[in-house]
Amino acid sequence: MRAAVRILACGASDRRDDGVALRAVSDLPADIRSRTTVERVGQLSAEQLVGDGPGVVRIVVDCVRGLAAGAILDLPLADLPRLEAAGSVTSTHALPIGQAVALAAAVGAVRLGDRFIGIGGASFGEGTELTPPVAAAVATARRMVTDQARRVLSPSAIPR
Amino acid sequence: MHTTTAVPGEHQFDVGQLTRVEGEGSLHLRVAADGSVDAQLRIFEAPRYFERLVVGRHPDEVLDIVARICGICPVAYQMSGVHAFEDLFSVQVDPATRLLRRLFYCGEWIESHALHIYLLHAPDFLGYASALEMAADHRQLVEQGLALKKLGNRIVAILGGRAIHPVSVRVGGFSRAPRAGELDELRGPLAEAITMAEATVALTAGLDTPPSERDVRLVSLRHPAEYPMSDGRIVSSDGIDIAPGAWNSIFHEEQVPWSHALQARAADGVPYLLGPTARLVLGAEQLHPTAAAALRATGLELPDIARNVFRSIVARSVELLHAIAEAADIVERYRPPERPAEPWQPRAGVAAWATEAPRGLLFHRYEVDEGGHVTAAQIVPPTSQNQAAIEHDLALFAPAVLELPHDEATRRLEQLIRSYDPCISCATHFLQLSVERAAETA
Repeated sequence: MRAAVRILACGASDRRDDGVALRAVSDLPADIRSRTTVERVGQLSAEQLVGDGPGVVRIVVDCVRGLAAGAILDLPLADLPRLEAAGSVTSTHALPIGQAVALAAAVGAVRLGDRFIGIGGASFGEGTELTPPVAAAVATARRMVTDQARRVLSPSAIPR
Repeated sequence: MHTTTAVPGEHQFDVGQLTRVEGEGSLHLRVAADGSVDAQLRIFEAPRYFERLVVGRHPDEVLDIVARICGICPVAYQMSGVHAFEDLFSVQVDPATRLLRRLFYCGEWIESHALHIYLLHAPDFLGYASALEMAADHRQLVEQGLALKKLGNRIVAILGGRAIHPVSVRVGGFSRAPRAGELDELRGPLAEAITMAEATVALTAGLDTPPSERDVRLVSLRHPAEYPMSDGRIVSSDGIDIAPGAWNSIFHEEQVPWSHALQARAADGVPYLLGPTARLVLGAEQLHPTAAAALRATGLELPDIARNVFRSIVARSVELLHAIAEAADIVERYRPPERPAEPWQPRAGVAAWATEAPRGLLFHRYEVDEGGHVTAAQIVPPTSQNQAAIEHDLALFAPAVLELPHDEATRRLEQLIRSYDPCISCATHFLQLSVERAAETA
């Protein structure tokens, strides 16, 4: 079965660093854009992870608190609830993303290959401008999203 | 926390942070030795000043702003607002647009009701602290809830541009109407959803429900030909019957010291109940036949549902099925409107209307100048109207839990509050603020 990739970018572009994930997925290389689905989901909720076919891998990108501004975390999506519960990383959203992932995992909707890429944010006030360290991290985050998508889409990738 | 106070025979319950409700609130309940009960639903979520934010704005801007009041029921805020403006400006929308708006509202009811039934309220009845815990034993139930919520969100996204805080509603119609065939993707999921929702009605009707007895005034819209959503008159179970813009002629808001949210009451001071139970009892004859049949099959009579606060989950399930079945009908016979929106001209006056949010009647009133700009606004969400009824029901119910272990008693009280599906964030729309300044010295 050929793998498919959904890239789910969380955040709001008018809330300063909260919009970093949207920037990171906004200018992906053409070969990735043509072979993936990029969705701007605002706040991730469990149902967005439910109902995909078995070959679909999800890459969730979001801004997080608990990391230095501009630092980037790349981990299996299934690990996010544990990290969030430990207070290591918390979502910038009112309903923590980790709880949404945990609920989806409870009904078997989180797979081994799903990834989470979190970018540390510093300012979440009104405005569209990213803080300098977060702006500087956009290119790196974009490359990490690209690398993860290429890994899944590679002909040698193991079907998941 | 449940404490027996220094006064012999007096009990006090404090729930510092209500869970599985939208927004931030707490419960303080004191049962005196003589059996009298003082119940306070303390809503401490910060006021959000939306009634000021819309002043100076044009109607179409207002519709986008008020959608931001709630992430769960943004369509309701847009519908109450757009109907108010269209009534003032004498705009007649295309019948196809009217159907699209009902579909839009159905999407929101599906999303909101599914969230509450399966993920917030069912754990109370089945003995779990959360949907996450419940999923270990009732995985299919959680899967159904997520699938239905996803379907509701999809309907809202197709019509509104996005699932949360949609942006397409305009005075006269929508900024864009779906082309013929664009709704076809919903047919299969809606057909599957009907089966799920029918099973849900049977499931919720069979849940073990704590005994509860009340005689409450019910208030909702009522329409002669359709289940109430955006049109009809405001009616009550005891004879109120007014136009949808005339809310202030019977009801009023008042401040209570323990809540940031204004409480609403009828002129006689009696609390009243809004939401699925009220709509179902007052408008059952307009249910979709599929939903009416499912309700009949439960064997429950409408008074059984009205009298027991915990049976609201049944009413909500019946409405979930109604919304899915009506959405399926609309999709089946959809034809695009001639144009997405009718032209309109502003005029000065008062724009006022009420529609049925998932949690109940949502009233908007705007004073508008000659250019169509808002000069004053009043937004009365359902949860602020239900607050007094919640406190009334808590006072009635509290004596029945006094002998239970305190954790169980507290859980039952929270379960009662969750029966109303309170949306506290919506309720804290505005707080009267007065500033007293000391005289400046020269």
